[in-house]
Amino acid sequence: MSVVMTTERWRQIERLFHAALNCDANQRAEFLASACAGDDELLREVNSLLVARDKAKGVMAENAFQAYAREIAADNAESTPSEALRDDSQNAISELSTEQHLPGSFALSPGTMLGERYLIERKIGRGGVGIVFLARDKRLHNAAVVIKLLAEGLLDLENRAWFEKKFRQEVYALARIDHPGVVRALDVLERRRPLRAGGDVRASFAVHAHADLAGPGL
Amino acid sequence: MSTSSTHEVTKLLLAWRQGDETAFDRLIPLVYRELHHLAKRYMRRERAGHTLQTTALVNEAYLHLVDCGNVQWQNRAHFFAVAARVMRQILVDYARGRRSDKRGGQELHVALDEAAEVPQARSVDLIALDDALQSLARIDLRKSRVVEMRFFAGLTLEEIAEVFKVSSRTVSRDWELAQAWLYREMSNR
Repeated sequence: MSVVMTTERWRQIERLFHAALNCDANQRAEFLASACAGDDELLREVNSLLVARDKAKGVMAENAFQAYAREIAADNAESTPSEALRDDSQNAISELSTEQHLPGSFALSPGTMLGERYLIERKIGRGGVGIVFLARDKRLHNAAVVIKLLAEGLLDLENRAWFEKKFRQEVYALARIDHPGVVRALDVLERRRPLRAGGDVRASFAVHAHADLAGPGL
Repeated sequence: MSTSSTHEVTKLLLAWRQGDETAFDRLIPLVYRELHHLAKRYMRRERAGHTLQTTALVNEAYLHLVDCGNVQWQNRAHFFAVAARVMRQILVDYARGRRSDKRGGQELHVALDEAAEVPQARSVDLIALDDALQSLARIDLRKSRVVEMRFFAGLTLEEIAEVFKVSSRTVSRDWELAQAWLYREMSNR
């Protein structure tokens, strides 16, 4: 638009734009014609904004960042996703080690009671994304169970939701399988911890049958 | 980020809230460094198949940069307002870089509405949007800032309302008219 716009003119346009949107569509033309009272330039201006409004729908529905990320990703496509992930989880550990980022209290030490039922005995292993603990089920005569939780380095704010979802999907899938070669999933627990900055973090814990004690054939 | 920088950012945010406009400009380089750094890290995650959320990114920068023991919701909204300016700068600079890139030469088209459920992706040229926003700022500064905060940093209407001390209904109307105006402006180029 090349014409210099005065504040007053702009307010007028703005007022009519919103007033027209509040009209029924079939009364809009009549309303505008009457409101503009022969000021054709004003009428054209408001009408063209109303047309643009309909066309603009959804164009900025989401913000600009995702696409930027994809562009960068495409630029750096030479290294593999797994390298990127490894690189990243190291970064996550070193950069996000402050208290407000990592759920420190989710670290399970021997003697911790989970969900008023499972008593942590000791850590038995650590994999790429998870840590595994041996625990006792206090409701079932101290039966041995295995508790799995996501490794903390992956539990920073941004990644959490995605990993948690995958983690739960795996547990639910395992829970549906009843086969002597597959370790049963028994339960999923969730712990929440409030953040000082507001909101909270959540961590899922999966409870599995202990393979050594789960039954014959193992 | 050192503790002194954290105090610095917190102090500047408070100063800006209390009406010191120069604080805004002094915040930008501090926030830029952090966001640029975080953005690069997020890119690698995106490549690894993760979902990116601008608000998560800016929130993470916020947690790094602001003294959270002294946290207030208004501080967060104001921080996001600065971050929005910075994100705009980062994204538009990047788009310009791409345009003059030896491999590219073509414009960066940002695909929007990328959710899997949405079949047709709409796109906006960030450089054209940046130019149009500058024109809009000359007519109506607040509307250009509303777009900046909503589109470049993902602020909610309520958060933007807090920054400008107006109702969220006013922000919603600003956003509606601004989108129409910008669309028309970009179509006319």
